Amino acid sequence: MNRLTLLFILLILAPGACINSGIYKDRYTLEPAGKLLEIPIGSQTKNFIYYSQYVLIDGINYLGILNYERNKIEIYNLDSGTLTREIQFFHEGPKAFGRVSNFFIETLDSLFVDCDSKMSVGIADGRGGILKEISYREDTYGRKFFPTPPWIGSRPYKIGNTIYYLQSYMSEDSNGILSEEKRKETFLNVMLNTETGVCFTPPLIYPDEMVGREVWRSPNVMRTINGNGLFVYHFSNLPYLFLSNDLKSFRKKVPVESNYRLKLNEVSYKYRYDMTGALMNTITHDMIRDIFYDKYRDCYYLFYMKRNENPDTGNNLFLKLQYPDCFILILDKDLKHMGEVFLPDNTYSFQFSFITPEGLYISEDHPNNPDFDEDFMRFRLFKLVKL
Amino acid sequence: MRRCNFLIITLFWISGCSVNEETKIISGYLEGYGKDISNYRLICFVPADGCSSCIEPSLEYSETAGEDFLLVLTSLYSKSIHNTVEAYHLDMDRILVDAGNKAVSLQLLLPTAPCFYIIEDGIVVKKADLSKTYYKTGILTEADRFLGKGPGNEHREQKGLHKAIFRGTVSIARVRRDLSDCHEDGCSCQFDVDCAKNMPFVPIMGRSYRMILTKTF
Repeated sequence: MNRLTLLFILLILAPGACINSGIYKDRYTLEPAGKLLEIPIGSQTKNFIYYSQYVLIDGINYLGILNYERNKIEIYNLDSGTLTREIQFFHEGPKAFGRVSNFFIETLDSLFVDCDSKMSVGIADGRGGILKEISYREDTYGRKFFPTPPWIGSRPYKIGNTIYYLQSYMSEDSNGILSEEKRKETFLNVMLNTETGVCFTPPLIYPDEMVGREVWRSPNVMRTINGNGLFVYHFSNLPYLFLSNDLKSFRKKVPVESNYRLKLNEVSYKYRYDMTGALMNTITHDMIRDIFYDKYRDCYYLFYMKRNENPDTGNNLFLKLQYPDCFILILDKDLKHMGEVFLPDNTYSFQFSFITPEGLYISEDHPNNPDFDEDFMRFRLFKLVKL
Repeated sequence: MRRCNFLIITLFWISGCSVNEETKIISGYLEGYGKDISNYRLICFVPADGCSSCIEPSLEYSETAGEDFLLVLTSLYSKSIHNTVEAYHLDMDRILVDAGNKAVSLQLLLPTAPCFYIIEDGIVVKKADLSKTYYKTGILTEADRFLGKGPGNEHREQKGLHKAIFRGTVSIARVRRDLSDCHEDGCSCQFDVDCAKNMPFVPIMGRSYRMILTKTF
């Protein structure tokens, strides 16, 4: 075989190198449906959103978004595409609460708002008045805890009267490596009862598999919860999902069933003082960005940031972190492979997605999208379709 | 010995090249806006989406700086630039607005904190990237010294500027305490994490933070 033939074969094989062909059969896919959902936003609102929540109230679809810069919650009617409520919160003065980091809409006139820097939850009315405040600075044992940033896959969940916060442990000892001794302190959750104000730390800690591995970047764990109270965890450097029903222990570990060969980041500690190095290191690895449970279709969507082996340093690399190119892995209720969807790069803002009875909505507000417009939020609906 | 000489020469060559390269990039960048690098002695690139404790001292400095100081406000979002101009009452005629975030693409700054370039005769002689330091006001004193006594200097002498009253690594408990203690007038906290993540300060369990507690006297 001459060199040219060898080169030709290599060139043919190279593009598919990170995808295993056909280990898992795709049974479903996500298909774009209908026209784009476009909602005009005001001059004080950006379409890059840290936190949002979809709610269905009296048959109307609403989307609440956090306007972080202005410390406001804006609730949009998705059916009419209009702003329904604008709730202002204050840092100072008699109505001061603090900067809202996330929220849970109960009704349009009743919300739970969280100020993570103050570690306090407020029960708010529809005008921004705080009726009651509950601190979660320490648990029932007097233990302090530090929740993850309440965004994307590390967001807290409210089920009934309880808010489940996630903790992500970071080890500064032994080069960012988790030791067995330290593992005993790595509690993953804190539960806040919003009726009694009791804050409780359940015993679930990082799994054995994380011992000897790096726990440096934060958050290094993401999770979701299904309709039956099953918590599904994904640690950033392990291609497995860990399941727990009782938050006492992991009852099961399942591999991430994907045909895409994940190259997860295992070494980031050495870049702790080198921002450019850290950036390059992150971009050249795959990374879990979000996990959703779709209660309407009883399945999971895992958003993975795709690695770029040869990032163009002439481009804005930070943009790739803020607006990563992702693929979506679809798993069934038993976390078995259903399908995986590769969407075009530089088109979607995967940070900003939500699920409705219709399907999965993903923001198209990517600055490199030719239709990008700062004055609109635009979403593409994807429907789960059998192949 | 020969190898050593070669290394030294190479190092000189690399560092010399880097300064020239920055001059070249900034010159080209400014030309795109019809500006000439040799008209300035200090250029400050500020990311409008950077954390407020990182960008605030630089924005305040720009208010009193002279004609040879150029403030470049950069962001992907024109709304962020507009908000920053409004929040800090900046004079639009005295700033260069980079709404395409070209400066970040050219790596003239990181999108988390300001970056200063000191220019002599149209050539970059020093770069101070505030994303790599915990002390965000140190460069301003140096800038004053470099630019000579100007209105900005007087302003800072009168106000006494921000003085660090605590600097160092602190435990998470201390961070919490100092955050709550630091609400008196003229007192503010600054954390390196804020700068590194370009998001609100969220302390992480088990980690210590470098912090500067400052007070304006």
